[in-house]
Amino acid sequence: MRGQTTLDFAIGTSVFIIVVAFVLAFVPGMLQPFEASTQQETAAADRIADQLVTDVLVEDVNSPFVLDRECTLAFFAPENNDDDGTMSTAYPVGGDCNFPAIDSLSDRLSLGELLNVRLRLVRDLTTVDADDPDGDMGGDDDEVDTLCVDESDPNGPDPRIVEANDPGSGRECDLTGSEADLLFDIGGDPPDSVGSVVVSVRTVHLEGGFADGTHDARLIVEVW
Amino acid sequence: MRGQAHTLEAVTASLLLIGGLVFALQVTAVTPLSASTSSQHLENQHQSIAQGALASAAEQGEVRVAVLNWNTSSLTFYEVPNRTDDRDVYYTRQAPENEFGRIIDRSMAPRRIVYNVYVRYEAESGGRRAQRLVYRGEPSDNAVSATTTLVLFDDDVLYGKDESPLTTTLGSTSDFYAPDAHPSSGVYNVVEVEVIAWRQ
Repeated sequence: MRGQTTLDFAIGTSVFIIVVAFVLAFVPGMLQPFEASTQQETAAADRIADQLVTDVLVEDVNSPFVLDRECTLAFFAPENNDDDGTMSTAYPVGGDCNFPAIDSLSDRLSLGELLNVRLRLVRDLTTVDADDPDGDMGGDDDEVDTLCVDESDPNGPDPRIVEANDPGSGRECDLTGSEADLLFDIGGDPPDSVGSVVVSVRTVHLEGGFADGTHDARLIVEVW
Repeated sequence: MRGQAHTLEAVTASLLLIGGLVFALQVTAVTPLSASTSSQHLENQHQSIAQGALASAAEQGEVRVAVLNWNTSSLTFYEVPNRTDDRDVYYTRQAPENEFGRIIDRSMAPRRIVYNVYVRYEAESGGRRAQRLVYRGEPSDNAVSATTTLVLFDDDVLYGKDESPLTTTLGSTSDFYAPDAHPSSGVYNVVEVEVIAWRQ
């Protein structure tokens, strides 16, 4: 009878200890939804993207997703985003644009101190002349690339929009010098390392079109 | 009896622990924005992409061209490929062969979004019917939709191959998929183009 008592005690204790260990291992997983998540960045990315394509950059609020060309170029101009107090003269913020002529991107978007943003306009253009204006990427690739306003269009007097294709001096998309080419990429660079970057994508119609005759592009908003 | 009491006590304590754990599990919440394969954030993106692509196509007048790109002799949309039987009047494998199809394809295909396009027209007896323009299968549970409305007039011309306008007008043909819902006025029909998109 004594042995049986010990055996029952052993079984009882081991069952109890196994269950305690299981619960202790399970509890951290249960708390995971309450930890710091990317909810703030997700909400900010969605809000910024919606605000831009339905209110800030559009010509007429009743037709969203149709962006006004001058206002969009003024929004993306580097001199209008570098926080030094002076605005761009080549791409001025017109009186009918729906955003204030402030030099700072985070103030224009009402973004707090903790969040960073990057806005880009990307597209894979369809003609060789627009997709590969410098002629060194092997023709019309199927890669999406950031767009760039090329002031010195060899085909005509007005500036045209082509794929950027590694912008630099001497190329079709030349951001240096007095030519004032405009790359549709503002905000800092997202970190490569740890941390999550939330992306919001919108399809937009840019008035005036691009060098291949099409008008639709993708606006990418990255918040981290 | 004393030994079994030890075991019973241990089993009861374990049940209490498990009960507490289950209660705590029921209390925690998984929100729509929690990371998962099909979160609300992704669906919002698909919805806005579809709306933007449709708005861009409508701004260029390409939605009208796509709706009127109907072949009245074969009673299909123009250049529907791979017709295996007479019921194939719409596109199933690829985007329509017009600018509307190219715009939608450019927005959706790189993100692996599959779409159906329906043209809902007024039927003669009231109510609405849907004509498929693109059908790629049954949408999943997380599909989103974007719509735009278009008015077709009696003197709108149909468009042929390569989106070139033909000479047939809507009022003069009876082989169009939508009937003349307003025979006594210049309006032919009011259609709604709906794009339903979901993740592959």
